[in-house]
This record gives sequence, structure tokens and C-alpha cells, in this order.
Amino acid sequence: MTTRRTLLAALALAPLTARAHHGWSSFDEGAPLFLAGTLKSVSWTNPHAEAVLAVTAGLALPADLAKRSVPPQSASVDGPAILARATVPAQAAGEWTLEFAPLSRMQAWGLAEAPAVGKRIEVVGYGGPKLGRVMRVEYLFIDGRAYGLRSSPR
Amino acid sequence: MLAALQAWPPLVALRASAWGYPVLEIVHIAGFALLVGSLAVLDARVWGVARSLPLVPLGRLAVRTALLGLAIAASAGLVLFATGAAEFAANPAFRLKLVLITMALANAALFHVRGSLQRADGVARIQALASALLWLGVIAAGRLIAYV
Repeated sequence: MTTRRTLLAALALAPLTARAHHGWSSFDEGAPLFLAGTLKSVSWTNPHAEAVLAVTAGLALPADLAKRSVPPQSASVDGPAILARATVPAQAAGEWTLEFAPLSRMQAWGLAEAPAVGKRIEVVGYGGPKLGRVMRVEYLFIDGRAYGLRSSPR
Repeated sequence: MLAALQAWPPLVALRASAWGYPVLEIVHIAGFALLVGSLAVLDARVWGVARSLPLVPLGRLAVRTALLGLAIAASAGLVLFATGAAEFAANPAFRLKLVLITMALANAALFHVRGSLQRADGVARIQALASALLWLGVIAAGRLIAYV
């Protein structure tokens, strides 16, 4: 009996004591962030593609960001509103881990191959209070093209 | 050692394949659905549901089905683990899941060693309840791997 009670307590506490990382719900969708930099490393693997982005000091929001057009996708995402609200995070300079989408979705967007290390990219996405320098990417911009990673292209 | 395991080329290829990984996840889920579903039928019968069904043959069928489900879930699960061994081993939900699986298997072994299926007594009911709770805990901990 005691064992079972301890067990249930452990189960209940597990989400609180552990460092939040991958659950999409731990990202703050209310505060979109903008980052730009060069890719330091890429990992095009499941359950989702990841990259490390090197951001240099003095990053500023591009003047045209709010006006950029975003491609249609299957989920209803208010792209213009997200871009309009995006801000550059405090202490943006340095390395950030970017979390993209599962490989099948990257493929659907035409990103079957990882972008080259050293490539300059821009992203709009979400961080979280407990996540550190990790961003879940909502929009990815490469070579002037926008990709909406919440769902597949429509 | 775990880092070396996940760097093994076939596992790297699996992680880098768009559909291989989700297919393994599907097999894993199908396996534990079979496992937990058939045990739920047995647990319900031990607790007195559908008394018209003979307990011993029903138990044998349920256990055989559960073992098949366990074999499927564990095989797919081991491969999924191997693709990210270092991360999984460090994940608190994954560690809890392993503890719960061990407890569930020990509980099942005890159930059969003492002949609980034949006795169908109060202890058997407690064991059946523990089994249901432990396997639900395994599912919960497994799902929480992605959230902690």
C-alpha cells in the first residue's frame, strides 16, 4: 500500500520536478520572439529537426517583418499577427537551440535536407520561462522564403 | 556507451528517416494497447465482472495476448530507446517508466507463482488492481517523456 502511495506521489510530482523541455505547451505562444544568425550545427532527425543558431550582438527586428507574407498551411495560424507581435529577446546574442518540426513535415515544406552549417536564417518562434535558450520555431525564413512549421503546407 | 549506441549507423538512419520513426511509434502503441487492453479484461473478470466466463481459460487467453503485446511494445520500444539512448536514459519520466515496468512484471510474476488465477481470492484482486494501476502509470510516464 505504502509503495503504491509513494508511486502515485512520484507520478504526480514528476512533471514538476523535471526540467521542462519538449512539451509544446511549455512554450509561451503569447510572446513570439525573433532571432537571426548563422547555423552552427544542424540535426535533421526525428522526433523533430533541430539546429543550433549563433546570434551576434546587436540583433534588431527587421523593418519589414510584420509585412512579410506567410505561406498557407493546414492549421489556422494568424501569421501576420504573430509577426507583428514578435520582439527580439533580451540577451539574444549567443547560441540558441531551435526546435523545428518532424521530418515528414520538413519534407512537405521542401526542406528534406538540412540547410548547410554557416547558412544565415531568421526565425520567429517561442521560448519559455523554464526552457533557457531554446526556441520552438513557428516561422522559418531562408533565402527570402517563409516556412510555417506549425502544420504542413496547404 | 549510450552515445556510441545511438551513433550506430542503422539507428542514425532510422532517426533521419521521415517515416521510419513514426512507424515504430505506431507499432509501440499498438503493442501496449494489446497488452493493457487484454489485462484490463482479465482484471475486470478477477474483480467479478462477467462471472459467466470461466476465469482460468479467459485468463490464459488474456495473458497470452498480453505477452504478445508486451513483445511487440518492448521490441519497438527498445529500438526507439536506442535511437536516442543518452537522452532517454537521462529523462526522469523514462526512468520512472522503467521502474514501473519492472514493478508491473514482478507483480504479474507473483500473480502466477502463487496461482492467483486459480485462487481468485482477495489477494488476486489486489494484484489485479495493482496491475491495472502500474500499467496505467507506465503509459502516463511514457507519454510524459516528451514533456519533462
